[in-house]
Order: sequence, then structure tokens, then C-alpha cells
Amino acid sequence: MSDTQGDTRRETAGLLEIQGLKTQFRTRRGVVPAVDDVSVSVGRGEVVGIVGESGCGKSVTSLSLLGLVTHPGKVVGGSALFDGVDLLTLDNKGIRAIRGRDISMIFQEPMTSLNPVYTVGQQVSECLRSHASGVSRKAARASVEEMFEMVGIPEPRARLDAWPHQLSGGLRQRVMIAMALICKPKLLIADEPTTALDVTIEAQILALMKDLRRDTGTAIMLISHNLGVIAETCDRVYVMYAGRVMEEAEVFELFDSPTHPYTRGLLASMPRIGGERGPRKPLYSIRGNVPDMQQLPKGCRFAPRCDFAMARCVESEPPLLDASHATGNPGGKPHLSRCWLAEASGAGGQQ
Amino acid sequence: MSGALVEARALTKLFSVGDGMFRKSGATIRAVDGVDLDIRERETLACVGESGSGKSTLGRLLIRLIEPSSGSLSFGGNDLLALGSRALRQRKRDMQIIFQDPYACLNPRMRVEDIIAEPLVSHDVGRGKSERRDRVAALMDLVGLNRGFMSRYPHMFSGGQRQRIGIARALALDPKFIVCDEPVSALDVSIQAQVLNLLEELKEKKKLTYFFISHDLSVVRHVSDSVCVMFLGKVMESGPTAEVYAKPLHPYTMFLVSAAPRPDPRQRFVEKPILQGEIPSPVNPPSGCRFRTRCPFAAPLCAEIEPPLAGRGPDDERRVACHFPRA
Repeated sequence: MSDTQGDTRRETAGLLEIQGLKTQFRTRRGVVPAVDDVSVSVGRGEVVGIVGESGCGKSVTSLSLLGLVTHPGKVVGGSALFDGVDLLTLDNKGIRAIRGRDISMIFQEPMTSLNPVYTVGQQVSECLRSHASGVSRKAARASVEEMFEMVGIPEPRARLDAWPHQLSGGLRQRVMIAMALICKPKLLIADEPTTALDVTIEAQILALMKDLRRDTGTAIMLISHNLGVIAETCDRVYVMYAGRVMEEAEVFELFDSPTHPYTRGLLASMPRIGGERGPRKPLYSIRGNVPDMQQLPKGCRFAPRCDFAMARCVESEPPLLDASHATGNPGGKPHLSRCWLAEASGAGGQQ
Repeated sequence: MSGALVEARALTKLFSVGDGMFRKSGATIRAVDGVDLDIRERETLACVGESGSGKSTLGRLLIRLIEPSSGSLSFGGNDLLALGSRALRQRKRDMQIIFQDPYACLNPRMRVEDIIAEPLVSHDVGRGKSERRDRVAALMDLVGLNRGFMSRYPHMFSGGQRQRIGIARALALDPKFIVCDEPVSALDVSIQAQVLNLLEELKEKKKLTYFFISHDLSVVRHVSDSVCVMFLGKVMESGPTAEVYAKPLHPYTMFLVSAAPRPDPRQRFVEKPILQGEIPSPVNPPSGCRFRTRCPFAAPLCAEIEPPLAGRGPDDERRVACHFPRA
């Protein structure tokens, strides 16, 4: 696994630099390498998407950063520099000072992430007061009200005293976003923030996130299985599969010229809303299933399902190769693909 | 209207809401409120709507899994509501349902063989265990499951495979009509395509008619011939899918279609109309048109008179419940 060394030419002005992150779950049946040598960077104010299907390791990546992986899971390797500090070396106290203040998170299920026995106003102001010492109750309440207004909660003052069960799913997610932003974090990690919401509410929340990014300059790491959500919100995207990053590219390039067969398969298997009329064609489908994480193939992890697999793919796993030459955009933002075809179709790959 | 396999008229289902353990508060939810529907033979009619729109309740009503509060319902020209329990049971062989959650709808203690054979047993089809086993094996072939896995338990299968088990069970009695209730919502994208293709293939092979319930507008666009859009228990718009998507008549349809995120980064430059507000409480829906509190085009008339679902265009193929339909 030498591919992480090849990423050095990436610009280093990043806010977050995850290098070679490895997180494993030890189960009775064996070790599950949920995140296996993953490198992700997020620039200041950048919106970075991590997309993949269930079990690909996208959520575990973010939980690993914040020390939220619990037994039997364990971060076993790699580094995560956030503003120059390696998050993975911090003790409990150290990470708690950063979590919720400099890096905050919103989750998929706004119902279970709020405490049912406190009003939403109490919960959001607790978050502020625990990180900013010396803020009075009254001042905290005023800032929470302001934040509620900013995230588009109607009648913000009255809603301070509402209980979580009195709010709809969309409003609860707005409360979660208010809580995440109240300490003005540098990085917001949003894990499937709209998956549990209805389509029209999803559109509202995505629009809100775009506005907030514009107004506050907060960087966002958006984790989603939904390629549509990723396409409309992110600047740069990582595609994950079976614990690995398979492809990494700037968003327009990824959707215009995906190079990894897995990415191409995912895009082709999506039903399109603007499809033309006429006899219905079957959707492209990626055959087979996600591999058993305890019996991963020796070569490329996608090879058993890949239409382009060669003998070499079964034998050895490709590193992340430079694919920008294949898309006619050499020298642009890095476009990396974990596929031998990226090497075959152009000159060299990585140095 | 003749030629329809399933015909519903003014179909209504009320649920009463209790506010205590035994007391009824007297409040009722009109989960499905006066729905008229025709599903032609071998057609896929999709029903799209957000949570609480009544689409799943409607699906269950259509196969009389639950009893309607009022209205009429016929299947293949026979009045489904007039049937006695024995005759209804016979009829139900023609009507099946596939559920959303392939994890919850299969009994974890039963082997796949017994799950798929259960409808055969309860309707007393096939003599003896060996004949039934042959049928189960044939059904497993049909839905793309390895027949060697017959004696395995559901937990040994992946989500996509479990959905195939559910489909095999629904097909066991050779039904004519299947209600598919969000059949691919719990599945990953790559598996979703496999299951959608399978449903399509089975529809051709077995001459099936589908009522396809989904909240996903892209999936609906792909699978259906016609579509009905529901909001708080009412059909807001219906018609041929391609036309409804290309030219929505109801403002709600317009917002729904434009809200669905698309896998195209250039969409970020498109100014999208965003529907404000939340879905109103079904216990206390707005007067007049139920959508008016969220509708940017609402006029005083909309609060006073509820717009009926009126036919438009040739043969009334398209229908819309709006005083001011989009042209």
C-alpha cells in the first residue's frame, strides 16, 4: 500500500489532511478493515463529498476523526492533521475541546440525535456554553435565537422552548444545524443530512447548507450515498468502496468524465428524471454484491463485479493513479483513480 | 370506465387518533380521502408523494389488506367490497404486495423455502411437500436466487437478495396485480437497479400489473407508465408519467419534480423554485385546497373551495386538482 505517499503534490494549504487512515473492527469472526488506508483532504471553506454505498466506510472515516469509534472498533493507523494538530493523537479531553467547537457534526436521524427531555433551546445553548466559558445563560439564549433565525426556523423565539417531539423532521434537522454552527466551527461534517427527509424538505436543507457555506465560510465534509445530493453541493468528491477510496476528482470532472468502473457503474445505474420517452430500457446494473469485508479479494476490491477486470486486477490491487490525462485535463486539480486502466490509457501514472 | 383491472371510486380511509390509552379523542385523520383511480391491465401506475400523503394506505386499500371507510373498489370488473370472506380469499390470490423493508418483512425463524411456500400452503396449492418444493425452486430461478440456498435463513442473505425472496413469495400464487410499496428504497444504488430490472422483466414475463409506491421521483420516472401525485390523502395530479414530468400542471408536482436532486453538477447554476414550509397536519388540514398553505400561487378562492380532480386534454388523460393549473 504505497499509494498514500504519492499524494504529496496535493496543495497543502488544507484545513484537514487525513493520511492513510485505518480503522478496524475486531469481531468474533475476524477483523473488518472498515476504513483501509484512506486519505482525504478538505481545504478551508471547501465542500468535500464522500460518496459510497452502505458499508463502504464513509461514516466510519468521519467518526474516526472525532474519536467517536467505539469498541470493537479502533483506529489503528494514519494521521489526521486539522489546523496542524493530529486529531488521532489527542486524548479524550483534547478531542472534546475540538469536537463541537472547531469541528461539528450533523447526523442523518434528527429524531435520535436530540435529547427528548430538554427543550431544543436548552440543548443548543448548552453546546455554546460548554465551549465558550463565561457566556451567560441570557446571552447564550440570545445567540441561539439568532442562530435559529439564521437557519430558517420560523418564530425562533417561541421555538427555543419547544421540545424535540413538537418539531417536524425538517425543523429538527434545522435545530441540529443550528447546534452544529453555534460555535462557528471551521469544519462541519454532515453525515447523510437529508436522507431521512422528504424531497421538498431535502431541497430546503440543501439550499440552507449552500447559503451557510457562502455566509460563514465553514468547510463542509458531506457524506452521502446520494449522487444527486453530492453533485449539487460539493466542490470535490471521493468515491469509496469496501473501505477504500476508488476515485477522487473535482465535481464537474467526476460527473463529466468518471474513470473508475465503479463510479461509472454507479452513475449508469441511477434512474434519470429527465429520461426520454419511448420503450423502457433496462438500467445498467453492477452485478453481484459488495464483498465480504472479512474475505476481501486479493487484487482490486471491485474486480469481482467489474466488467473490465483483467488478470492483473485479480492479482494485484492498483494504487490511486493519476487519471487526469485520460480526461483531457492534465495539470488541473488531481483526478485519481484506483484502476489499472487509468495507467494503461495514458503515460506513467504516479511518479 | 371499462378495461381497467383495478377501479377505485371515492375511496376513503379514516383513522381515529387516540389521545389516551383507551380513549379516542374524536379526531380523525383522512389518510386517503375520496380517491378515484383506474389501473389498466399490464400497466404500471406509480403513486408518488411525501410522508403522510396516504400512498401506502392507498396501496393496502387496493388489495383490501385494510378495509376502506367508504367508497367503491372493483377488481377485474367484480365488486371487491361485496365479496364475502371466502370469495375474497380466493380473489386475493390475484393480488399481492411487496414491502419496503426486506429486513423486517421476512420471518427470521423460517427458512427461505418455507417463506416462499407459505402462500402455497395457506391457499392449499400443490400437493405434498415435493411438489411445493419444485415450485419454490422454480420461483427462486425466476427471481435470480440460487435454488441451492433454499434451506437458508433470511439473515444469510444480502438486502437485494432478501428483496428477491419477498418478490418470489409475492409471485408464488401467480397473481395478476402487485402492489409494490417502496420496493427499492432500502437498497443501495447498485442493487436498486438490479431489483428494478427484475420487476420490469417479471412484469413482461408474467403479464403483471403494478401499483408502484415511491417517494423517489427518478425511480417513478423510470418504472411507470402513469403516475398519480398525492398530498395529504388526495390525488393532486395524474396522467402519463412522461407528460406529467415534462409539463406538470399542479404547482405541487412542479416543486416535487424540480426538488429531486440530480446527478449533474450543473444543476447548481439552475435557479430552482424551493417549496417553503412544512407538510400541514393531517388531523387538521387546511380548508379548501390542502396544498394552499405552501403554494406560492394560492388565491382567496383556494381557501374557500376545494378544487376537484378534473380531466384535461384529450380523453381526460391528464387530471389535476387545482383552480389555477400551470399551463
